[in-house]
Amino acid sequence: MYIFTTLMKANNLLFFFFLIICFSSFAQENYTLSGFVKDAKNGEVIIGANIYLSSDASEGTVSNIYGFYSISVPAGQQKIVVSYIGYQPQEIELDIKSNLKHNFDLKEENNILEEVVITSERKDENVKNTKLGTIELSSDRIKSIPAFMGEVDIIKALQLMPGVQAAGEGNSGIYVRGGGPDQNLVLLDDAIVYNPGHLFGFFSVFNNDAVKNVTLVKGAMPANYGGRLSSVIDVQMKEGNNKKFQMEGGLGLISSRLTLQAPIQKNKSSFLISGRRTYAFDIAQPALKKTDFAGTNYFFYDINLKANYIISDKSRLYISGYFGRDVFVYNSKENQTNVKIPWGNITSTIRYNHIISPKLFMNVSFIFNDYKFSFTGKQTDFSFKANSGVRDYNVKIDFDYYLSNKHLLKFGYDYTHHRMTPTLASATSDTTEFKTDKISKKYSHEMAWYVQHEWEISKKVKLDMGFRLSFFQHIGPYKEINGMDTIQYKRGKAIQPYVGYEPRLAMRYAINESSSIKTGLSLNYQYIHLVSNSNSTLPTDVWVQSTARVKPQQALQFNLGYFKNFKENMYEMSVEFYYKQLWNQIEYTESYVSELDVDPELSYVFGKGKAYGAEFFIRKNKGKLNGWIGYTISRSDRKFSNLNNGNVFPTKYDRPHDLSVNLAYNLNNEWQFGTTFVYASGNTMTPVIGAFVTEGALGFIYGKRNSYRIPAYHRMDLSLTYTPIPKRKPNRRWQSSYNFSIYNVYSRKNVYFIYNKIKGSIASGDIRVQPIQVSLFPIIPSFTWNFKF
Amino acid sequence: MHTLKKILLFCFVIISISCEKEFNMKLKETSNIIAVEGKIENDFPPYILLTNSFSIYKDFNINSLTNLFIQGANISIFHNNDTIHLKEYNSTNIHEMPDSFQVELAERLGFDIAQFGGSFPPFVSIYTIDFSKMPLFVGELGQTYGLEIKVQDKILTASTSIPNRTVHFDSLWLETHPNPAKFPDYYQLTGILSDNGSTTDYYRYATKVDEEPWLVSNSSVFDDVFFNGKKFKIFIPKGNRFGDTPDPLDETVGYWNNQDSVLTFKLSLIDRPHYDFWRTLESNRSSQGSPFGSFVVVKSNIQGGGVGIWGGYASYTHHFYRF
Repeated sequence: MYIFTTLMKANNLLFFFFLIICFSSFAQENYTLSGFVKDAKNGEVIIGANIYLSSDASEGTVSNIYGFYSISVPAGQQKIVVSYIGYQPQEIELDIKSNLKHNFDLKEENNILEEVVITSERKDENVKNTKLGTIELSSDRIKSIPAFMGEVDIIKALQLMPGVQAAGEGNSGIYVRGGGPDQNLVLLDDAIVYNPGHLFGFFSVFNNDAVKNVTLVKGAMPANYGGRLSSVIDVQMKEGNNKKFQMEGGLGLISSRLTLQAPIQKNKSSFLISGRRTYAFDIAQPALKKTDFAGTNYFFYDINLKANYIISDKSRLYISGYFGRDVFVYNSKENQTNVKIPWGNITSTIRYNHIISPKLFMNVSFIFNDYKFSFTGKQTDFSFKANSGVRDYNVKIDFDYYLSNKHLLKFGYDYTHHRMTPTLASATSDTTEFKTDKISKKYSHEMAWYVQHEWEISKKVKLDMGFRLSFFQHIGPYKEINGMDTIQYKRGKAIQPYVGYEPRLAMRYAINESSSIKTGLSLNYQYIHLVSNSNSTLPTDVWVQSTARVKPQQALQFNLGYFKNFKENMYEMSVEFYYKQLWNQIEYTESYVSELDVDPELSYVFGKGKAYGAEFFIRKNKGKLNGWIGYTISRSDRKFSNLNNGNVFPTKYDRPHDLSVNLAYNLNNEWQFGTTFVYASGNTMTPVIGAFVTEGALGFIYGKRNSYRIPAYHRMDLSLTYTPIPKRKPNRRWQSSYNFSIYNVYSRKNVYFIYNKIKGSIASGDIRVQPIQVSLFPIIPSFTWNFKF
Repeated sequence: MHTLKKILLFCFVIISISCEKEFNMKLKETSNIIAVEGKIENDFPPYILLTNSFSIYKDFNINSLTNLFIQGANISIFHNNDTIHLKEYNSTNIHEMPDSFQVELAERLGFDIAQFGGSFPPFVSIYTIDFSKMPLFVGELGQTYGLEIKVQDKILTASTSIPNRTVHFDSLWLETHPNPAKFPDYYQLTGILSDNGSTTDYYRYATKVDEEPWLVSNSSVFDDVFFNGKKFKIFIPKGNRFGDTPDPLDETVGYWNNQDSVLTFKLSLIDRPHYDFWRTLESNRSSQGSPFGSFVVVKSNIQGGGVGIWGGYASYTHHFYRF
């Protein structure tokens, strides 16, 4: 009843908020021009294109993630300009007598060298918008960054941005502004990707050929996003060329990939299919035959699918999906042993766009996603199975309401049904069967209502006000075991509800045309969690939901930034400060060892934390030499009454200094050079400070939690891309390029982890413990051949 | 487990063209912590080793061994209303201990008494009952025992219980190694175990070959949550010598071989705090060499600033005679 009353109050609040917004807007005798902005070459919609009046550039709008725009235009002859970096601006004159629909098809710039794009944003968008801590990267720019083992990776590109830290050597996991790896909302076409890494995170699941662009929000999160504390990584897949057949792919040392896209019905519908598979270990099989690793193999693969259909001028349907798996196998006839360990994600999204009116755009999404880890093993007459995972059914409805050129209202609703599967194990020994029965799957409802109002109060001041009301409920079926007592909840029975009031606020004050100050505040709730006690994020780590014992994580973040562009937007610079307070953070107890059939939440402890820092960023947007330098100074710590004797301790990803440099040099249309340099303070670790002896062997005594910092990490990578242009037929469709990359050019032996090597024994009286540093990747050259047709 | 380790290791080795080198870790000196290794088993006298902790990155040599064992402690065991004062034995008075007990104790401590000229190593101090006082105090099933240690101006206390029953295998037999062609001389000791369904049981086991010292596995404890109340077939892996760390890729580890005549296997029931100690200690040890490991603080039942265990065992010893 309390929850119901609370929700009613919150709904009233939302309605009141909505009314204020509506009254604050003022009607004009204008007409509405609306439509889509697309790439003339392949029909892909363009996200973030600027549409404005030639007579007054401040009267404008930006196309949304489906390419839709809506702008209020005075009656009469009007010149409308559409621009987007990397494309030729288009200006048309229209006689506005009534509401009008018009689609723009933009052509790519011809002079690549002068206008090399390194961001998909408008030239001065970083100064003009209210976004704080937001990074957008196009997949084309990502290709120019030196690639680890030849694998172009969007997540690794984001790691080069200030405030974003790599989870480890060669790892595609990220920590954002002092938050944990589970605090990043990773979306692929609106579907949550629960495990965004292959091979323990060394490669991300995103095949760059299938990706159109990626947006990272690490600052004030708009109200349409929620459910995570630290960041949003929103990846949009390409739609598929609806003009002509297109094929592209690449052959690399460890994997190959192929992408096909084509119109199903020209200009009306299209599809894209993209696949990638590793084969390095398949090739190595003959060499492994006579080693201890005979019979062992590992591979991963991804398949991306997307189709879209333009039903009418007002409606469009998208269907997209992702299927990826990592697979370990071990088969040995001699040892009578078979083991298979597959894990991976499936996502599928159906999206329906509808233009309700020239000012009101709607999108409805139906999403299914599933992450599963399983293990099957058999040796002689003993067999073992285990599986865990998370499965969601999600429906979202989002509206963009273009009240006027000064007011954009976004609102919507988001509902998810979660099913969390803990590690459920079963085994057979001879004819006897065993299985876990004291832990069970958990189910929940998660929903949110949001409203976001972007309001350009004056040319100087722009305000984004948002509010997200989130609600979470643990529901049955569920078996709660309290000692000897068991409570059985029926399907759908409400067990534990939580409500989150999440205000979001961002404001920009334009000092002049080329500089602005922005500030933002956001409160976020997170209801599902990934708690890990290992040094690396593992596929065996299990997502868990909030319950009566596990309360939602919360974070309040304050941001302040100064943004400045120079030399007609050739250079952009920003300084951002953030302070984040976190509550209900979750860790395992210090003596945690996983146990079959014991709910891991019984081993959780809870605490609070804070993270703060300053991020400095300078980027050169065009010219033969372009790129950026990002530097972050930050701290991240936690305080748990049950850990570290109740004292504050740094997180394992506390990284006071983090520097990234990325440069590209385009010698001509055929040759391109790229380099990356990163420097970061070393990770923290809990040192072993002593040992004791039991049964002739050592037990290790630990010091203060995360009190030892390993040496700093630094590395330089180089890449060279050669794209031959045939002299006879320079515009032929078949294009090849050759990429040669060198990872860790000066072969720095960065510390991946430190372990203690024990030599001798207590009994012989000559035992010695030597710390050993393990470094993963020395200099690694790689070569990739890419083709496009 | 071999297979899982192999796969993890394979993954790690293959993906990483890794290199290792010695790392100079500078840490502050830490204060000494007293470690207790105390055991009380049904029908056997209690015994306790007291040792000092030490800084691990310094060389440990024979002089360190001399300083390892703590002498002069005042140790008492409390049982019902009785207080039993333990006596310290070392190379000077070990002869006051019955010979049979000396041999048995040496085997339980993991060394062969013959190697030290029929006596205990000179650096060892051990606390057990005074054999001159009759009747001899031994552990009993279903009893709880308190412990108090006064040493180095500290008072350490603990309590443990011996479960009220023992468990034993219904039958034992040998099976071949899963890869008999490659390892024809190795066997699996196999048995049928019936678990009691009405209680949550915690098990620890140890093995022994002929008259050699006892051997322990790196995973010596398990509970019955997965097989509560079931009767099932189980393999009994041969343990390792105290302090040995077997090669995870050695496919003969855990298997008995042709030279083993009498295979001895002791299965003990222990209480939950005792189980937690070994479980966390074994995880603490195994985490030292893995990038995927985590730090695990050993859960001790010793109060007052020490580490270690005061643990009760309800044990049943099986013998399998190959010849």
